[in-house]
Amino acid sequence: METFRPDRRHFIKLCTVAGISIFAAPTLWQLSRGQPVGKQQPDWRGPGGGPAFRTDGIAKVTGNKIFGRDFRAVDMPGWPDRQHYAFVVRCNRVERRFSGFDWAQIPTGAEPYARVTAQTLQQQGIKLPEFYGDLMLLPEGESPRYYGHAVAMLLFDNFEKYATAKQALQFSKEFIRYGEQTPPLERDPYASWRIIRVEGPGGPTGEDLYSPLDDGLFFPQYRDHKAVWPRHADQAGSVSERGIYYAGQIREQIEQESTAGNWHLVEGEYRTQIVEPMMMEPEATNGWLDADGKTLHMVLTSQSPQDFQEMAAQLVARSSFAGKIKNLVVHSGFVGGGFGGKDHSIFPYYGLVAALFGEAPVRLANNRFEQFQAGLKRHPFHMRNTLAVDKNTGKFQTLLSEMQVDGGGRQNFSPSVAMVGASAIQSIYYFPRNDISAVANYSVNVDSGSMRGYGTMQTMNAMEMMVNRAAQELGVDPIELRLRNATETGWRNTQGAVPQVKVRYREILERARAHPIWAERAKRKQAYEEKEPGYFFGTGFAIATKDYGTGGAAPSAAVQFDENGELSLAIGFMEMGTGTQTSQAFLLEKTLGAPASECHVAEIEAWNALQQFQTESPYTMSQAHQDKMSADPLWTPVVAMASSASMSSYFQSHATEQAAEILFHHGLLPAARRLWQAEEIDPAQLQWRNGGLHYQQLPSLSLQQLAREAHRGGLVTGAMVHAFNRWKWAEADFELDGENRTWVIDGLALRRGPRSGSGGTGISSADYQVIKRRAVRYPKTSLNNAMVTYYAPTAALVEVAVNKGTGEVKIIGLQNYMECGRLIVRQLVEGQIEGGVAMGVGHALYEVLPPLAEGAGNGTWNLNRYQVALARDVAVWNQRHEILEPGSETDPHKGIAEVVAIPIVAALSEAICQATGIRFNDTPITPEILRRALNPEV
Amino acid sequence: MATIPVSMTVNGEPVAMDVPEYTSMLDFLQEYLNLTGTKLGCGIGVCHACVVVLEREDGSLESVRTCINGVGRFNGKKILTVEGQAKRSADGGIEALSPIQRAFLRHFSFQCGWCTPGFVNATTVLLDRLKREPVPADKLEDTITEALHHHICRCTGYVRYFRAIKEVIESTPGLVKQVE
Repeated sequence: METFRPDRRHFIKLCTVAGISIFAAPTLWQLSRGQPVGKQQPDWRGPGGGPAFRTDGIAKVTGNKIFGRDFRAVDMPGWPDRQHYAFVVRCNRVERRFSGFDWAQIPTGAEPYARVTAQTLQQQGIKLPEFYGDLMLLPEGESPRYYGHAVAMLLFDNFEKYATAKQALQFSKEFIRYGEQTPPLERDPYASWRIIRVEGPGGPTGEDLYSPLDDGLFFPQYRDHKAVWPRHADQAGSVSERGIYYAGQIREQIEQESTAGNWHLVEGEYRTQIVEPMMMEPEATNGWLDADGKTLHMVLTSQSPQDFQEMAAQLVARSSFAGKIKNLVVHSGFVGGGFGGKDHSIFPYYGLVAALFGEAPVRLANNRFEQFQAGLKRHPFHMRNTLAVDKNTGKFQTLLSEMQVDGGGRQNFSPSVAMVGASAIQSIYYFPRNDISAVANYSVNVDSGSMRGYGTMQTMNAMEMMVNRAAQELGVDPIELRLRNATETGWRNTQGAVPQVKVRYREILERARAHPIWAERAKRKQAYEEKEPGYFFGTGFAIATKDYGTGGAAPSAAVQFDENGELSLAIGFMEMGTGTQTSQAFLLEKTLGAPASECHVAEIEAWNALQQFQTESPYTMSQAHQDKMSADPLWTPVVAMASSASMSSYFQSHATEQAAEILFHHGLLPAARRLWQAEEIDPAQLQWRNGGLHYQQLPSLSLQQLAREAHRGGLVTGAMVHAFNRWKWAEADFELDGENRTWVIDGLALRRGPRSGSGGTGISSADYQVIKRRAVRYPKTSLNNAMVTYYAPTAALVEVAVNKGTGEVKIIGLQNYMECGRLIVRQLVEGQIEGGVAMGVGHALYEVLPPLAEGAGNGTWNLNRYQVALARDVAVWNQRHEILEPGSETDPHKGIAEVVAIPIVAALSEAICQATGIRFNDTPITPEILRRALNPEV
Repeated sequence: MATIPVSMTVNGEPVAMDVPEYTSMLDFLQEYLNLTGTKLGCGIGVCHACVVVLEREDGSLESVRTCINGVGRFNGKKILTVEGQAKRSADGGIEALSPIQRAFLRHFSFQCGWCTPGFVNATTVLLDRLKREPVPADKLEDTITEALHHHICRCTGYVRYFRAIKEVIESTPGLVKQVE
């Protein structure tokens, strides 16, 4: 008997993968008691027209169940009330073979009812998705591949047994047995990248002699697990031969010019540490295999549930459970912080396995020690850098960088983090020539992932430290040196691509230069040190410009209005805390006269109306494949994308605004024509004011009047779009109502007149009809070599006092500058800046996990040893920031969630140097490191 | 597993049951009462995400970390968790938020919201303390920092929490003494 009924009021079918139907449950917080989340409250508008508070705010401030971790079996409709619990057993050493367990260590009465081991997984044919590598559980007789490698999962039928057993086993040295010693495992690197560029005679805007964008990329061979780059140089040869030729030229020129005394070289090694994302909500799952209904339910805390859905279905389909599971239902809640640590984490797959072997719903929830031991980290970088500066002009001439990136025991996003770090090291500066390489390596450390900064926190701060050092060695004001080298709009980056945004670095630099913290820094230092003789005082500045985007962005949005003019919005993005739900709702106001009354985040079902499909990876497909497939009006390079914080404001906003414009153009505008009885209306003269649409001297029309007329007359009342961006937007031509028009989207579906009565209150695919495009123009596949072309800058000016005895650093004053284009909700942007500063302060001064046996993988790390920035560390009462006004009404909404954490790091490093005279190349500069440097004799 | 009887008042409701003797208060709230508004952050008493309000016998309030305190410590006591901060209707709907909840909303103090229950509860205790022991206006910022600086927030960097707290204190009569 099958008890699972895919009633669309509760479960929404997404697709079928490998014979398993995937359903998304309505977002979990809708189960929560209290105020609905996502529906605007009556007092939602604040003074000045903006939101008075976040749409998810009331639920969060009152403790509603909204996070994935909150939900127990008893909270889930249709689940049995019984809750079982799982515990993953992990190795805390790597140098010996795992040789089994001492089961006697489990306290009497707390025995698990199931012990899942590698043998169990093998018997059932369970393998990790390819993205995560192999050996989900380590087999007996093998040595752990990395610290924290899982060896077993234990299942308990009540909380008491689980808590008792976990207490006894988690830190036990006896439970896991180890055998003979084995040599360290060696593996080839995960990936290698090289970015060589030489500007041509036309300068920064002319054709390059060589660049990845024009010439393509080439890769090394691996010998003895080390990257060995090609050696043969030929100016007229292959891409690698030409690259090696120009790399040789670059190095020869450095040698000649520095020997001749023309160029000053800043050479050094720069190291960053392993950092824990320390999102506040540790990862958790709750899963139930409903054997009668042949349905697997999973509750997640993931930032990327879409990817889990597909990969989990494939995992099941390849296993012996294939015939036992026909449906996979994925429930997602709000995410209690992620910072990349919950993006493509391996954790939910352990939860899935627990559910497969559970006899009731099974909860798997990391405590903080486990989160440290097994959660994704920020990659440590080791860079050897050379910056060549012309002594006469102060102009940067060449950048050399060799980066070794520690990816840890599983690959995860290490290849792309290394690539992004390498392509971002140039920061705001222009270089006529560069040779940058990055190798992402395997190690026995806990694996690193897509943590906030994605490689740029590491490399751009190294660049800023070099620039500050160059300024000191050349005797030039550090901001003046930056002004001489800041890139301009239209200039090429180190990959040879031209960034797609107007550059306003000079404006930021000039403002910082005039600020009293900078202009009066000598006077302030003297005054402070006279008053506080136990302290050194120093001032530092740094700037960063973070790329955002993936080169394969695919946002979707749908906007519709009911007969009363109430606007509903659905978007594909998750709400991860950054306020996407609030800001996207407000985006509609400019075009449609009001914000959305409802905003559904992480929408999945509605997009079925677009009927789109994808084929190959958008990053590797050929131009010929793209050209051929483009002829099918329903094909798209990417159907859906993962959510990350920096992606929503630019990419999701684009889709939301396009949907709003189409709805206006084909719904409200024709309705206005009818009501005004005016055939010809110049859209440029239309204006929303005080809730009414105004045109010349005609009486204004409310959104309600227009909506009612659109519904009555069968006009467009809902627009759903899909867009694609590969560093440029795709655009397509549509014929609508007898009019040919181009929109900056590649998929469109419309709702006309009243809804079809499909039930529910949300946006439903059943109400929409696909509109096939007549032609589409996708960005060329060669733009994949551009790597990044969107940027948002932030600068930090900081003054510190360093305790001469203890080495403790106190931030005295802090001024931030942010250029985010058109901001959507000021309070959300300011919150992002302040949060970024705190995380940056932690990276600069406190946060560090040692590698290897002393590191997080040994399972003993928690916040008693890992120090994050607290309120007293971030000058909580003395932080100021300036958000630049947008340059124009058409400036983009830029992604800023990552850049805000970056420049404070190098600014602090420089302030410490100016205070103490000691220059550090590595992070963090902990009080202990500083104390030893200041007092070497103690 | 040995059990102990516990009884207490949680958000105005009497609660009594037998639980294993080493059960933490956090596990008691989450696993036995299904009150998950109180959050696990570190589990070792550092981050303060898990604090609840304990009413002392003299009626004064105390913030207590539930992850490092056993349920036995709360036996016979009155407890307020974040779920009990707002005034609710019989069906659990929210009728009125507390002043500090409103201030955190208005100031956009939080993003992900995981640390919010701890800030709400600890600030409630601070307000209660200042009612009894008003602070000079020029010491207010230091007082707030001293009372809340153990609470870890990873999203918004504390600034908007602290501003909201300052605003509530300054707008509540009797909490601040004017400096002569």
